[in-house]
Amino acid sequence: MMSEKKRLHPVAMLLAFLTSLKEVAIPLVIFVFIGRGGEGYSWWHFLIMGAFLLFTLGSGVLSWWFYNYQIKNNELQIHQGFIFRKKRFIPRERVQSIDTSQGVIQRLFGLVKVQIETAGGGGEPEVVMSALSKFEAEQLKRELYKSKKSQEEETDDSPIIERPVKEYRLTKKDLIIAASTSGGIGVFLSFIAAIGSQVDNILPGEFYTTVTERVMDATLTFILIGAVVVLLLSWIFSVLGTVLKYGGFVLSRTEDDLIIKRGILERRQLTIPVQRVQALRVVEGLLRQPFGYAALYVESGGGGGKDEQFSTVLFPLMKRKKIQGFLEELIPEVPVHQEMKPLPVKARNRYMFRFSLPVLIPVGLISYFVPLGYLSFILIPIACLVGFLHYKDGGWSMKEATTLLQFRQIGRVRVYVPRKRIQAMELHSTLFQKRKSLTTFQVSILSSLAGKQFRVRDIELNNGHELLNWYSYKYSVKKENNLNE
Amino acid sequence: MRPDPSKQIDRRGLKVWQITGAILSILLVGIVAGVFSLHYFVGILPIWSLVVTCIVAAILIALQIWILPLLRYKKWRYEVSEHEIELKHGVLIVKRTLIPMVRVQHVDTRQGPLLRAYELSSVTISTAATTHEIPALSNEVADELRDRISVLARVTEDDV
Repeated sequence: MMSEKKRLHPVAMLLAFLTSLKEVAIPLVIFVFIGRGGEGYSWWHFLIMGAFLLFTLGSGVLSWWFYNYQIKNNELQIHQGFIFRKKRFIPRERVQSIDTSQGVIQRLFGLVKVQIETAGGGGEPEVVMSALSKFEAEQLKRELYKSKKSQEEETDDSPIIERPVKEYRLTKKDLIIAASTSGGIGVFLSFIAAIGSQVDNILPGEFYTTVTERVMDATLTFILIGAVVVLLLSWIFSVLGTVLKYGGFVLSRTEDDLIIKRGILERRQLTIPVQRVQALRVVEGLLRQPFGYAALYVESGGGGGKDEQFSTVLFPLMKRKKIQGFLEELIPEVPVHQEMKPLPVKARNRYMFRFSLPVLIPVGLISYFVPLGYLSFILIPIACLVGFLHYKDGGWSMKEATTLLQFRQIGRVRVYVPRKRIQAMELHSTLFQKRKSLTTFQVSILSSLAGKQFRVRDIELNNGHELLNWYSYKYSVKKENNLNE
Repeated sequence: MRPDPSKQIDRRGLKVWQITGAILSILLVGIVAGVFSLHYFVGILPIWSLVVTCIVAAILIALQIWILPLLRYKKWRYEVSEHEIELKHGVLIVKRTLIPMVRVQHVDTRQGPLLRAYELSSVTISTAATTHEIPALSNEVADELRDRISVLARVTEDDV
């Protein structure tokens, strides 16, 4: 039950050293190449650099020496720091997920990096152990999970071998498709950024007179070529990034857990207990939707980074038609359904108006001040069309124990939330919505970043009340009684 | 249609909001004074701009001190039953919230200096994902509510 105090693998020193080196790389380079002035290096340059390296090395060694962990009294206890001593105790029941990953260096030495997360508490994992031997990581995992599952019936110390029941692999073809269509948002944003930076160069100074001339002749071709180049480069990078990140993707389902393994250079393994699944999210990206593809995400208490909006990729690419069957087989605990109620027709104009309003003012200004500016009027129908698409894709439904929300966020998003995972349900009605008896429907779920909200705008107010009733305790009790009779 | 929650917050809350509005109004008066001193010391501003400033400031002050607090007070409704908490509030945007008791993580009562002067407290209800506040309840009601919710919330359905 109780384990002795343990240190990380000594390679942790190397990792700490490299990390702090990376942090100061830029000032160091500036110091070495720019700071030397005219007459070359003098003795104090070497002294400073030597002292600096010694300091980083020393702090790496010391932080390794003073870092130890142990499992005691049902807690993971971590002591660290030599100047500022820090103790962190995490009760076993609070551990949301234990992930392992392997960077290049960990791979070289056959080690793993272990990240332990508890519920809430922002994006960073609560515990990061940069280097543990595989055996020790496995042991730690087992001890933290063991008592969670069966604290009383602790029988023997023989390792519990979890047999994968089902395994799903991402095919090479799908990986390539996923990679080449992943950059939808990124490519679009970098395109905007490229144009934005050009505008920034032009705007200051003599705005009214020169702006049009300069845009009209020389710069226009330059901007276009630049934009295309930036677009292409960022696309290539995003393709490469995705391949490295999701190469060798394997998802398996055991009795209690979902296990995700992925990555080419850095191999990551994530374990998500099915009990902790808060919601499932299906995202059809802008480039994927026309081909009938979508990505699946799982919202769990912990895990995920900024790039995944603090949730975890459950499967990077799948045909839309297969998703229903796949989820039913993978997680029968979260029943999913297809039926969806669309938004009422009276919501349509509100959607179109909402999207054209922010465009209206700039368009007005441009067409007034800039010759040929009236061409920008084309943006208004485009904004209306975008609004219309948002309207068309909005929808909701509830069935048995799951509610479904669908909305567009550049890509089309569909979220399944089991009733018992909804932390709170809200209806918001503005004065304008009230006049048309519409409302905005919102559910909150637990996420690693202090809760997450999903909402569908402009549903019928009556439907909103239906949803509240469905969520309400009285209704669920009544329903159960009816079933029993 | 689902019936509205039944209970109203304490009427003294209205007073507190009015006082807060009055304090904010001092800022507006300051801005108006600034515009006038600009007119007086730096350069003549057109008369209409002064008039507009005064009218806008007057409207904002009226909104802050009388209209908004009153509407806010009138619109606030809450209800705490054995199994759930229901809130409805908001003037421009009406928000309606349903929180099952089993989702409540903790309950606090809070009191700023103004609320304390009027023997009021606000009750803050936190779930694992959200926080909700019932403002301006009398101290006794707030304490009773906090204790009741914390007892009711102890019935855990299953761990998150």
